[in-house]
Amino acid sequence: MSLRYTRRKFAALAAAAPLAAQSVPQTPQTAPAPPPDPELQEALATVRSVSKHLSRIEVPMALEPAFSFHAARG
Amino acid sequence: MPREAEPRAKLDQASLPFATIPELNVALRNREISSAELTKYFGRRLEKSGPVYNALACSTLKTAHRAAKQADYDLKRGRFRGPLQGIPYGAKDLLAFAKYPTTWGAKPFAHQVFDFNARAIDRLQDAQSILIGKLSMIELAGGGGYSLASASLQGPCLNPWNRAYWAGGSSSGPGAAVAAGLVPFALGSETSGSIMTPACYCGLSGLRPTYGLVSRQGAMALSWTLDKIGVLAHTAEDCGLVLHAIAGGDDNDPGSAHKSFYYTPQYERKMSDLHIGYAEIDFSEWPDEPLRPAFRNALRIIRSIGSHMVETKLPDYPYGTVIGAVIDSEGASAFEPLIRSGKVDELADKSQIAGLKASLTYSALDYLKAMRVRRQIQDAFAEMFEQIDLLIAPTHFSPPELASVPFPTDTPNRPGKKGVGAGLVPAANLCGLPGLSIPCGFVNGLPIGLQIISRPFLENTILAFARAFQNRSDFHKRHPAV
Repeated sequence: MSLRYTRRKFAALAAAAPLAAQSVPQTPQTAPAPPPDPELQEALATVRSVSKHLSRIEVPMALEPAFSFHAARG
Repeated sequence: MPREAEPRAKLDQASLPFATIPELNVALRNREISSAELTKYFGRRLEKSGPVYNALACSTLKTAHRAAKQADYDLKRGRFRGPLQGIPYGAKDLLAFAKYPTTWGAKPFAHQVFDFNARAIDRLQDAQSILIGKLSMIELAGGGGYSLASASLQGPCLNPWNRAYWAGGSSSGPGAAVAAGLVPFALGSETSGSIMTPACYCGLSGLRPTYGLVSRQGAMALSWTLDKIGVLAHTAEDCGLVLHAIAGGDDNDPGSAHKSFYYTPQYERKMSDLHIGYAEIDFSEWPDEPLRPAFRNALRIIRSIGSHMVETKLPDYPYGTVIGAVIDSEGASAFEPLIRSGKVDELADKSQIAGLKASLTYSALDYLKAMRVRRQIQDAFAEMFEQIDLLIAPTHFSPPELASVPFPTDTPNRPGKKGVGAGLVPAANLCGLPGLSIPCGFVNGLPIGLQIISRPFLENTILAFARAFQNRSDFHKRHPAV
Protein backbone atom coordinates (compact mmCIF):
# COMPACT_ATOMS: atom_id res chain seq x y z
CA MET A 1 0.00 0.00 0.00
CA SER A 2 1.32 3.36 -1.01
CA LEU A 3 1.92 5.89 1.76
CA ARG A 4 2.02 8.71 -0.68
CA TYR A 5 -0.82 11.18 -0.40
CA THR A 6 -1.86 13.40 -3.24
CA ARG A 7 -3.51 16.79 -2.67
CA ARG A 8 -6.76 15.26 -3.90
CA LYS A 9 -6.52 12.46 -1.31
CA PHE A 10 -5.86 14.99 1.43
CA ALA A 11 -8.88 17.05 0.37
CA ALA A 12 -11.04 13.93 0.39
CA LEU A 13 -9.80 12.91 3.84
CA ALA A 14 -10.31 16.40 5.23
CA ALA A 15 -13.85 16.53 3.87
CA ALA A 16 -14.66 13.09 5.22
CA ALA A 17 -13.28 13.68 8.71
CA PRO A 18 -16.16 15.70 10.12
CA LEU A 19 -18.65 13.24 8.65
CA ALA A 20 -16.73 10.37 10.14
CA ALA A 21 -16.81 12.06 13.49
CA GLN A 22 -20.53 12.60 13.17
CA SER A 23 -21.13 9.01 12.24
CA VAL A 24 -19.68 7.73 15.52
CA PRO A 25 -22.64 6.76 17.66
CA GLN A 26 -22.98 9.16 20.59
CA THR A 27 -23.14 7.52 23.98
CA PRO A 28 -26.00 8.91 25.98
CA GLN A 29 -24.85 11.10 28.85
CA THR A 30 -26.05 9.30 31.91
CA ALA A 31 -23.63 10.75 34.46
CA PRO A 32 -25.09 13.86 36.10
CA ALA A 33 -23.19 17.13 35.75
CA PRO A 34 -20.89 17.72 38.72
CA PRO A 35 -22.41 20.04 41.30
CA PRO A 36 -21.14 23.62 41.12
CA ASP A 37 -18.18 24.20 43.42
CA PRO A 38 -19.45 26.79 45.94
CA GLU A 39 -15.92 27.98 46.78
CA LEU A 40 -15.13 28.54 43.11
CA GLN A 41 -18.44 30.36 42.54
CA GLU A 42 -17.64 32.61 45.48
CA ALA A 43 -14.12 33.28 44.22
CA LEU A 44 -15.41 34.08 40.74
CA ALA A 45 -17.97 36.45 42.26
CA THR A 46 -15.12 38.20 44.12
CA VAL A 47 -13.20 38.68 40.87
CA ARG A 48 -16.32 40.14 39.23
CA SER A 49 -16.86 42.45 42.19
CA VAL A 50 -13.22 43.63 42.17
CA SER A 51 -13.43 44.19 38.43
CA LYS A 52 -16.63 46.22 38.81
CA HIS A 53 -15.14 48.27 41.63
CA LEU A 54 -12.00 49.03 39.60
CA SER A 55 -14.01 50.00 36.53
CA ARG A 56 -15.76 52.70 38.55
CA ILE A 57 -12.50 54.42 39.51
CA GLU A 58 -11.67 57.26 37.15
CA VAL A 59 -8.03 57.97 36.40
CA PRO A 60 -6.50 60.49 33.98
CA MET A 61 -5.35 59.07 30.64
CA ALA A 62 -1.75 60.15 31.23
CA LEU A 63 -1.48 58.14 34.45
CA GLU A 64 0.79 55.20 33.72
CA PRO A 65 0.71 51.90 35.62
CA ALA A 66 3.05 51.43 38.57
CA PHE A 67 5.67 49.59 36.54
CA SER A 68 7.78 50.92 33.74
CA PHE A 69 9.23 49.53 30.54
CA HIS A 70 12.80 50.37 29.62
CA ALA A 71 14.13 49.94 26.10
CA ALA A 72 17.52 48.90 27.40
CA ARG A 73 17.73 46.00 29.84
CA GLY A 74 20.23 45.65 32.62
CA MET B 1 18.82 59.45 73.95
CA PRO B 2 20.06 56.49 75.99
CA ARG B 3 21.99 53.93 73.97
CA GLU B 4 21.17 50.27 74.12
CA ALA B 5 22.94 48.60 77.00
CA GLU B 6 26.15 46.72 76.20
CA PRO B 7 25.34 43.05 75.61
CA ARG B 8 25.87 40.70 78.49
CA ALA B 9 28.97 38.61 78.11
CA LYS B 10 27.72 35.49 79.93
CA LEU B 11 24.75 33.55 78.65
CA ASP B 12 23.11 30.89 80.78
CA GLN B 13 20.83 28.00 79.77
CA ALA B 14 17.72 30.15 80.38
CA SER B 15 18.85 33.15 78.36
CA LEU B 16 20.70 31.38 75.52
CA PRO B 17 17.61 30.41 73.45
CA PHE B 18 16.45 34.03 73.38
CA ALA B 19 19.83 35.76 73.15
CA THR B 20 20.08 38.70 70.77
CA ILE B 21 22.59 38.84 67.93
CA PRO B 22 24.98 41.25 69.77
CA GLU B 23 24.86 38.98 72.84
CA LEU B 24 25.69 35.89 70.78
CA ASN B 25 28.38 37.81 68.90
CA VAL B 26 30.07 38.84 72.16
CA ALA B 27 29.91 35.27 73.47
CA LEU B 28 31.46 33.94 70.25
CA ARG B 29 34.21 36.53 70.10
CA ASN B 30 35.02 36.01 73.80
CA ARG B 31 35.11 32.25 73.11
CA GLU B 32 32.54 31.59 75.81
CA ILE B 33 30.87 29.39 73.22
CA SER B 34 31.84 28.17 69.77
CA SER B 35 29.77 28.36 66.60
CA ALA B 36 29.81 24.55 66.48
CA GLU B 37 28.31 24.42 69.99
CA LEU B 38 25.71 27.09 69.16
CA THR B 39 24.79 25.32 65.94
CA LYS B 40 24.42 21.99 67.73
CA TYR B 41 22.39 23.60 70.53
CA PHE B 42 19.92 25.48 68.30
CA GLY B 43 19.89 22.71 65.69
CA ARG B 44 18.82 20.11 68.25
CA ARG B 45 16.22 22.48 69.70
CA LEU B 46 14.83 23.10 66.23
CA GLU B 47 14.73 19.40 65.32
CA LYS B 48 13.12 18.47 68.64
CA SER B 49 10.67 21.33 69.21
CA GLY B 50 10.13 22.59 65.64
CA PRO B 51 7.59 19.81 64.93
CA VAL B 52 5.74 20.63 68.19
CA TYR B 53 4.74 23.95 66.58
CA ASN B 54 4.66 22.59 62.99
CA ALA B 55 7.38 25.16 62.36
CA LEU B 56 10.10 22.98 60.81
CA ALA B 57 10.01 22.16 57.11
CA CYS B 58 13.46 20.58 56.86
CA SER B 59 16.59 20.50 59.03
CA THR B 60 19.81 21.53 57.31
CA LEU B 61 21.98 20.65 60.29
CA LYS B 62 24.19 18.30 58.30
CA THR B 63 25.51 21.15 56.14
CA ALA B 64 25.43 23.55 59.09
CA HIS B 65 28.03 21.67 61.13
CA ARG B 66 30.64 22.10 58.40
CA ALA B 67 29.88 25.82 58.06
CA ALA B 68 30.06 26.27 61.85
CA LYS B 69 33.49 24.63 62.01
CA GLN B 70 34.72 27.04 59.32
CA ALA B 71 33.28 30.00 61.28
CA ASP B 72 35.11 28.81 64.41
CA TYR B 73 38.33 28.43 62.44
CA ASP B 74 38.05 32.03 61.20
CA LEU B 75 37.00 33.43 64.58
CA LYS B 76 39.95 31.72 66.23
CA ARG B 77 42.32 33.42 63.77
CA GLY B 78 40.72 36.84 64.21
CA ARG B 79 39.10 36.86 60.75
CA PHE B 80 35.96 38.70 61.75
CA ARG B 81 33.16 38.81 59.19
CA GLY B 82 30.69 40.94 61.13
CA PRO B 83 28.11 40.49 63.88
CA LEU B 84 26.35 37.48 62.31
CA GLN B 85 29.48 35.33 62.08
CA GLY B 86 28.90 31.89 63.53
CA ILE B 87 25.28 32.56 64.48
CA PRO B 88 22.64 30.01 63.39
CA TYR B 89 19.38 31.03 61.70
CA GLY B 90 16.35 29.62 59.88
CA ALA B 91 14.80 30.51 56.52
CA LYS B 92 11.24 30.37 55.24
CA ASP B 93 10.82 27.38 52.91
CA LEU B 94 10.19 29.78 50.04
CA LEU B 95 13.93 30.40 49.67
CA ALA B 96 16.07 27.96 47.70
CA PHE B 97 18.89 26.17 49.53
CA ALA B 98 20.89 23.94 47.20
CA LYS B 99 20.27 20.19 47.40
CA TYR B 100 17.60 20.48 50.11
CA PRO B 101 13.85 20.43 49.40
CA THR B 102 12.23 23.83 48.82
CA THR B 103 8.54 23.04 48.99
CA TRP B 104 6.94 26.51 49.11
CA GLY B 105 4.74 24.92 51.78
CA ALA B 106 2.69 23.17 49.12
CA LYS B 107 2.09 19.50 48.31
CA PRO B 108 2.51 19.88 44.52
CA PHE B 109 6.09 21.07 45.21
CA ALA B 110 6.87 18.67 48.06
CA HIS B 111 9.82 17.10 46.19
CA GLN B 112 11.19 20.25 44.55
CA VAL B 113 14.98 20.62 44.91
CA PHE B 114 17.09 23.43 43.47
CA ASP B 115 20.82 23.29 42.78
CA PHE B 116 21.47 26.89 43.85
CA ASN B 117 20.91 29.11 46.89
CA ALA B 118 18.64 32.11 47.14
CA ARG B 119 20.69 35.34 47.03
CA ALA B 120 19.68 36.28 50.59
CA ILE B 121 20.97 32.92 51.85
CA ASP B 122 24.22 33.43 49.92
CA ARG B 123 24.64 36.84 51.53
CA LEU B 124 24.21 35.33 54.98
CA GLN B 125 26.67 32.62 54.01
CA ASP B 126 29.15 35.39 53.12
CA ALA B 127 28.60 36.79 56.62
CA GLN B 128 29.25 33.25 57.95
CA SER B 129 25.81 32.93 59.49
CA ILE B 130 24.74 29.28 59.69
CA LEU B 131 21.49 28.03 58.15
CA ILE B 132 20.14 25.26 60.41
CA GLY B 133 16.66 24.74 58.97
CA LYS B 134 14.01 25.57 56.43
CA LEU B 135 10.88 26.81 58.21
CA SER B 136 7.24 26.16 57.43
CA MET B 137 4.97 28.57 55.59
CA ILE B 138 1.45 28.93 54.30
CA GLU B 139 1.29 27.12 50.95
CA LEU B 140 2.41 29.34 48.07
CA ALA B 141 2.60 32.23 50.56
CA GLY B 142 -1.18 32.38 50.58
CA GLY B 143 -1.64 33.18 46.88
CA GLY B 144 -5.30 32.70 46.05
CA GLY B 145 -6.38 33.60 49.57
CA TYR B 146 -6.55 31.08 52.42
CA SER B 147 -9.06 30.54 55.17
CA LEU B 148 -7.32 27.95 57.35
CA ALA B 149 -4.21 27.98 59.54
CA SER B 150 -3.68 24.43 58.26
CA ALA B 151 -3.08 25.66 54.69
CA SER B 152 0.49 24.39 54.90
CA LEU B 153 2.42 21.20 54.16
CA GLN B 154 3.35 21.00 57.87
CA GLY B 155 -0.17 21.69 59.17
CA PRO B 156 -1.24 24.67 61.27
CA CYS B 157 1.76 26.51 62.70
CA LEU B 158 1.10 26.93 66.41
CA ASN B 159 1.81 30.04 68.44
CA PRO B 160 4.50 29.44 71.10
CA TRP B 161 2.64 31.79 73.47
CA ASN B 162 -0.41 29.53 73.38
CA ARG B 163 -0.59 26.55 71.08
CA ALA B 164 -4.35 26.87 70.67
CA TYR B 165 -3.64 29.92 68.52
CA TRP B 166 -2.09 30.40 65.10
CA ALA B 167 1.43 31.81 64.70
CA GLY B 168 0.33 34.03 61.80
CA GLY B 169 1.27 33.80 58.15
CA SER B 170 2.51 33.33 55.66
CA SER B 171 5.98 33.37 57.33
CA SER B 172 4.52 31.16 60.06
CA GLY B 173 7.53 28.91 60.78
CA PRO B 174 9.97 31.85 61.04
CA GLY B 175 7.60 33.52 63.54
CA ALA B 176 7.08 30.44 65.73
CA ALA B 177 10.71 29.26 65.58
CA VAL B 178 12.20 32.61 66.66
CA ALA B 179 9.56 33.15 69.36
CA ALA B 180 10.16 29.66 70.80
CA GLY B 181 13.93 30.23 70.87
CA LEU B 182 14.63 27.55 68.25
CA VAL B 183 16.63 29.93 66.04
CA PRO B 184 18.07 33.35 66.95
CA PHE B 185 16.56 34.95 63.81
CA ALA B 186 14.90 33.92 60.58
CA LEU B 187 14.34 35.10 57.03
CA GLY B 188 10.73 35.55 55.97
CA SER B 189 8.95 37.18 53.07
CA GLU B 190 6.05 39.55 52.64
CA THR B 191 3.73 40.26 49.74
CA SER B 192 1.09 41.86 51.95
CA GLY B 193 1.36 41.20 55.69
CA SER B 194 3.34 37.93 55.73
CA ILE B 195 6.11 39.26 57.98
CA MET B 196 4.10 41.82 59.95
CA THR B 197 1.41 39.32 60.99
CA PRO B 198 3.63 36.53 62.42
CA ALA B 199 5.86 39.16 64.06
CA CYS B 200 2.79 40.66 65.73
CA TYR B 201 1.19 37.34 66.75
CA CYS B 202 4.46 35.86 68.06
CA GLY B 203 5.71 38.97 69.91
CA LEU B 204 8.73 39.57 67.64
CA SER B 205 10.39 42.38 65.78
CA GLY B 206 9.64 41.80 62.10
CA LEU B 207 11.17 43.96 59.38
CA ARG B 208 9.73 44.29 55.89
CA PRO B 209 12.36 46.21 53.90
CA THR B 210 11.68 48.68 51.10
CA TYR B 211 10.70 46.91 47.86
CA GLY B 212 13.85 46.09 45.92
CA LEU B 213 16.32 46.47 48.79
CA VAL B 214 16.83 42.70 49.26
CA SER B 215 17.23 40.44 46.24
CA ARG B 216 14.47 37.89 45.63
CA GLN B 217 16.60 35.75 43.36
CA GLY B 218 15.93 32.13 44.36
CA ALA B 219 12.68 32.98 46.16
CA MET B 220 9.24 31.77 45.08
CA ALA B 221 7.44 34.46 43.08
CA LEU B 222 3.86 35.27 44.01
CA SER B 223 3.68 38.89 42.93
CA TRP B 224 6.72 40.35 41.16
CA THR B 225 5.84 43.93 42.02
CA LEU B 226 5.07 43.24 45.71
CA ASP B 227 7.32 40.42 47.01
CA LYS B 228 9.97 41.36 49.59
CA ILE B 229 12.43 39.31 51.70
CA GLY B 230 12.75 40.40 55.34
CA VAL B 231 13.67 39.41 58.88
CA LEU B 232 12.02 38.14 62.07
CA ALA B 233 14.12 38.54 65.22
CA HIS B 234 13.99 39.36 68.93
CA THR B 235 14.80 43.08 68.68
CA ALA B 236 14.78 45.97 66.23
CA GLU B 237 18.59 46.04 66.54
CA ASP B 238 18.80 42.40 65.39
CA CYS B 239 16.61 43.24 62.37
CA GLY B 240 18.97 46.08 61.43
CA LEU B 241 22.04 43.84 61.69
CA VAL B 242 20.50 41.15 59.48
CA LEU B 243 19.22 43.66 56.93
CA HIS B 244 22.74 45.11 56.70
CA ALA B 245 23.95 41.66 55.63
CA ILE B 246 21.21 40.69 53.18
CA ALA B 247 20.49 44.01 51.42
CA GLY B 248 22.17 44.99 48.17
CA GLY B 249 21.71 45.24 44.42
CA ASP B 250 21.34 42.18 42.24
CA ASP B 251 21.17 42.10 38.45
CA ASN B 252 19.34 38.78 38.72
CA ASP B 253 16.36 40.44 40.42
CA PRO B 254 14.55 42.74 37.97
CA GLY B 255 12.94 44.52 40.94
CA SER B 256 16.30 45.29 42.58
CA ALA B 257 16.72 48.89 43.67
CA HIS B 258 20.51 48.44 43.38
CA LYS B 259 20.99 50.00 46.78
CA SER B 260 22.82 48.84 49.88
CA PHE B 261 21.76 49.26 53.48
CA TYR B 262 24.19 50.23 56.22
CA TYR B 263 22.86 49.81 59.72
CA THR B 264 24.02 53.02 61.40
CA PRO B 265 22.60 53.42 64.91
CA GLN B 266 25.50 55.75 65.69
CA TYR B 267 24.10 58.35 63.28
CA GLU B 268 20.47 58.21 64.35
CA ARG B 269 18.36 61.34 64.25
CA LYS B 270 17.28 62.98 67.48
CA MET B 271 13.92 61.55 68.48
CA SER B 272 12.73 65.07 69.34
CA ASP B 273 13.24 66.06 65.67
CA LEU B 274 10.95 63.35 64.35
CA HIS B 275 7.32 63.92 63.33
CA ILE B 276 5.22 60.82 63.96
CA GLY B 277 1.92 60.44 62.10
CA TYR B 278 -0.73 58.58 64.06
CA ALA B 279 -4.46 58.52 64.79
CA GLU B 280 -5.68 58.46 68.39
CA ILE B 281 -8.72 56.46 67.29
CA ASP B 282 -6.43 53.57 66.19
CA PHE B 283 -5.37 53.05 69.80
CA SER B 284 -8.59 53.88 71.63
CA GLU B 285 -11.53 52.74 69.50
CA TRP B 286 -10.44 50.55 66.58
CA PRO B 287 -8.88 47.66 68.52
CA ASP B 288 -11.10 44.92 69.95
CA GLU B 289 -12.34 46.04 73.39
CA PRO B 290 -9.95 43.82 75.47
CA LEU B 291 -6.92 45.10 73.53
CA ARG B 292 -7.63 48.82 74.04
CA PRO B 293 -5.95 49.36 77.46
CA ALA B 294 -2.74 47.73 76.20
CA PHE B 295 -2.71 49.88 73.05
CA ARG B 296 -3.41 53.03 75.10
CA ASN B 297 -0.43 52.10 77.28
CA ALA B 298 1.70 51.63 74.15
CA LEU B 299 0.71 55.11 73.00
CA ARG B 300 1.81 56.50 76.39
CA ILE B 301 5.23 54.92 75.90
CA ILE B 302 5.40 56.34 72.36
CA ARG B 303 4.59 59.85 73.66
CA SER B 304 7.36 59.52 76.26
CA ILE B 305 9.93 59.21 73.44
CA GLY B 306 9.43 62.93 72.88
CA SER B 307 8.83 63.09 69.12
CA HIS B 308 6.23 65.43 67.61
CA MET B 309 2.96 63.53 67.39
CA VAL B 310 0.91 64.56 64.35
CA GLU B 311 -2.73 63.44 64.08
CA THR B 312 -2.93 61.90 60.60
CA LYS B 313 -5.46 60.22 58.34
CA LEU B 314 -4.72 57.66 55.63
CA PRO B 315 -5.55 58.79 52.06
CA ASP B 316 -8.90 57.33 51.03
CA TYR B 317 -8.33 54.53 48.49
CA PRO B 318 -9.69 50.99 48.09
CA TYR B 319 -6.40 49.40 49.15
CA GLY B 320 -7.80 45.88 49.57
CA THR B 321 -9.39 45.87 46.12
CA VAL B 322 -6.27 47.20 44.41
CA ILE B 323 -3.80 44.87 46.12
CA GLY B 324 -6.16 41.92 45.60
CA ALA B 325 -6.23 42.55 41.85
CA VAL B 326 -2.44 42.93 41.68
CA ILE B 327 -1.64 39.80 43.73
CA ASP B 328 -4.27 37.68 41.99
CA SER B 329 -3.30 38.77 38.47
CA GLU B 330 0.44 38.36 38.97
CA GLY B 331 -0.09 35.16 40.99
CA ALA B 332 -2.31 33.72 38.24
CA SER B 333 0.46 34.31 35.74
CA ALA B 334 3.18 32.91 38.03
CA PHE B 335 1.17 29.78 38.85
CA GLU B 336 -0.65 29.34 35.53
CA PRO B 337 1.01 25.95 34.82
CA LEU B 338 0.04 24.69 38.31
CA ILE B 339 -3.55 25.85 37.93
CA ARG B 340 -4.08 24.62 34.37
CA SER B 341 -2.43 21.25 35.07
CA GLY B 342 -5.00 20.51 37.77
CA LYS B 343 -2.23 19.99 40.36
CA VAL B 344 -3.60 23.03 42.14
CA ASP B 345 -6.26 20.66 43.52
CA GLU B 346 -3.54 19.09 45.71
CA LEU B 347 -3.36 22.22 47.87
CA ALA B 348 -4.69 21.91 51.43
CA ASP B 349 -7.06 24.90 51.47
CA LYS B 350 -10.19 24.81 49.29
CA SER B 351 -10.54 28.61 49.26
CA GLN B 352 -7.02 28.90 48.01
CA ILE B 353 -7.65 26.38 45.22
CA ALA B 354 -10.79 28.26 44.20
CA GLY B 355 -9.06 31.63 44.47
CA LEU B 356 -6.20 30.57 42.21
CA LYS B 357 -8.59 29.09 39.63
CA ALA B 358 -10.76 32.20 39.67
CA SER B 359 -7.74 34.46 39.35
CA LEU B 360 -7.29 33.23 35.76
CA THR B 361 -10.40 35.24 34.86
CA TYR B 362 -8.91 38.65 35.70
CA SER B 363 -8.64 40.81 32.61
CA ALA B 364 -5.62 42.82 31.53
CA LEU B 365 -7.82 45.88 31.94
CA ASP B 366 -8.41 45.06 35.63
CA TYR B 367 -4.70 44.59 36.28
CA LEU B 368 -3.72 47.77 34.48
CA LYS B 369 -6.38 49.78 36.27
CA ALA B 370 -5.17 48.46 39.62
CA MET B 371 -1.58 49.35 38.72
CA ARG B 372 -2.63 52.85 37.66
CA VAL B 373 -4.56 53.44 40.89
CA ARG B 374 -1.48 52.11 42.68
CA ARG B 375 0.51 54.98 41.16
CA GLN B 376 -2.04 57.45 42.57
CA ILE B 377 -1.71 55.78 45.99
CA GLN B 378 2.09 56.13 45.80
CA ASP B 379 1.72 59.85 45.02
CA ALA B 380 -0.72 60.33 47.92
CA PHE B 381 1.67 58.61 50.35
CA ALA B 382 4.63 60.65 49.09
CA GLU B 383 2.61 63.78 49.79
CA MET B 384 1.62 62.54 53.26
CA PHE B 385 5.27 61.80 54.12
CA GLU B 386 6.21 65.42 53.35
CA GLN B 387 4.61 66.29 56.72
CA ILE B 388 5.79 63.32 58.78
CA ASP B 389 8.82 61.05 59.16
CA LEU B 390 7.07 57.93 60.41
CA LEU B 391 3.58 56.54 60.54
CA ILE B 392 2.52 54.33 63.45
CA ALA B 393 -0.54 52.17 64.12
CA PRO B 394 -1.46 48.85 65.71
CA THR B 395 -0.29 46.02 63.43
CA HIS B 396 -3.56 44.16 64.06
CA PHE B 397 -6.69 45.26 65.86
CA SER B 398 -7.59 41.70 66.94
CA PRO B 399 -5.67 38.91 68.71
CA PRO B 400 -4.37 35.88 66.79
CA GLU B 401 -6.92 33.51 65.26
CA LEU B 402 -7.49 30.04 66.71
CA ALA B 403 -5.41 27.43 64.90
CA SER B 404 -8.06 24.72 64.76
CA VAL B 405 -11.02 26.46 63.11
CA PRO B 406 -11.46 28.47 59.87
CA PHE B 407 -10.64 32.16 60.19
CA PRO B 408 -13.71 34.23 61.13
CA THR B 409 -15.36 35.79 58.09
CA ASP B 410 -17.73 38.18 59.87
CA THR B 411 -16.64 41.83 59.81
CA PRO B 412 -15.93 43.07 63.34
CA ASN B 413 -17.81 46.11 64.56
CA ARG B 414 -15.41 49.03 64.08
CA PRO B 415 -15.97 52.80 64.16
CA GLY B 416 -17.10 54.41 60.88
CA LYS B 417 -14.32 56.99 61.12
CA LYS B 418 -10.96 55.64 59.95
CA GLY B 419 -7.54 56.52 61.31
CA VAL B 420 -4.25 55.22 59.99
CA GLY B 421 -4.25 51.53 60.86
CA ALA B 422 -7.15 50.30 58.74
CA GLY B 423 -5.69 49.41 55.36
CA LEU B 424 -2.11 50.36 56.28
CA VAL B 425 -0.62 46.90 55.62
CA PRO B 426 -1.92 46.66 52.01
CA ALA B 427 -1.34 50.40 51.40
CA ALA B 428 2.29 50.33 52.55
CA ASN B 429 2.92 47.17 50.53
CA LEU B 430 1.39 48.73 47.41
CA CYS B 431 3.80 51.65 47.85
CA GLY B 432 6.79 49.39 48.54
CA LEU B 433 7.35 51.10 51.90
CA PRO B 434 9.46 49.60 54.68
CA GLY B 435 7.74 48.60 57.90
CA LEU B 436 8.60 47.11 61.25
CA SER B 437 6.26 45.41 63.69
CA ILE B 438 7.39 45.34 67.32
CA PRO B 439 5.66 43.90 70.38
CA CYS B 440 3.90 46.65 72.33
CA GLY B 441 1.89 44.79 74.98
CA PHE B 442 0.20 41.55 76.02
CA VAL B 443 -3.47 40.67 76.35
CA ASN B 444 -4.51 37.35 77.90
CA GLY B 445 -0.97 36.09 77.50
CA LEU B 446 -0.81 36.86 73.78
CA PRO B 447 1.33 39.63 72.28
CA ILE B 448 0.03 42.64 70.37
CA GLY B 449 2.06 44.63 67.85
CA LEU B 450 2.83 48.17 66.74
CA GLN B 451 3.76 48.88 63.11
CA ILE B 452 6.14 51.67 62.16
CA ILE B 453 6.24 52.77 58.51
CA SER B 454 8.44 55.26 56.67
CA ARG B 455 9.25 56.56 53.22
CA PRO B 456 11.31 54.19 51.04
CA PHE B 457 14.86 53.42 52.23
CA LEU B 458 14.48 55.05 55.66
CA GLU B 459 14.86 51.75 57.55
CA ASN B 460 17.42 53.38 59.87
CA THR B 461 14.85 55.93 61.07
CA ILE B 462 12.27 53.18 61.69
CA LEU B 463 14.84 51.12 63.59
CA ALA B 464 15.96 54.10 65.68
CA PHE B 465 12.38 54.83 66.75
CA ALA B 466 11.79 51.15 67.51
CA ARG B 467 14.98 51.02 69.61
CA ALA B 468 13.74 54.04 71.54
CA PHE B 469 10.47 52.19 72.21
CA GLN B 470 12.30 49.00 73.20
CA ASN B 471 14.60 50.98 75.52
CA ARG B 472 11.48 52.17 77.33
CA SER B 473 9.63 48.84 77.49
CA ASP B 474 10.33 45.16 78.10
CA PHE B 475 7.77 43.50 75.82
CA HIS B 476 10.53 42.29 73.48
CA LYS B 477 12.33 40.70 76.44
CA ARG B 478 9.38 38.51 77.42
CA HIS B 479 9.45 34.99 76.07
CA PRO B 480 6.98 32.11 76.09
CA ALA B 481 7.51 29.23 78.50
CA VAL B 482 8.79 26.57 76.12
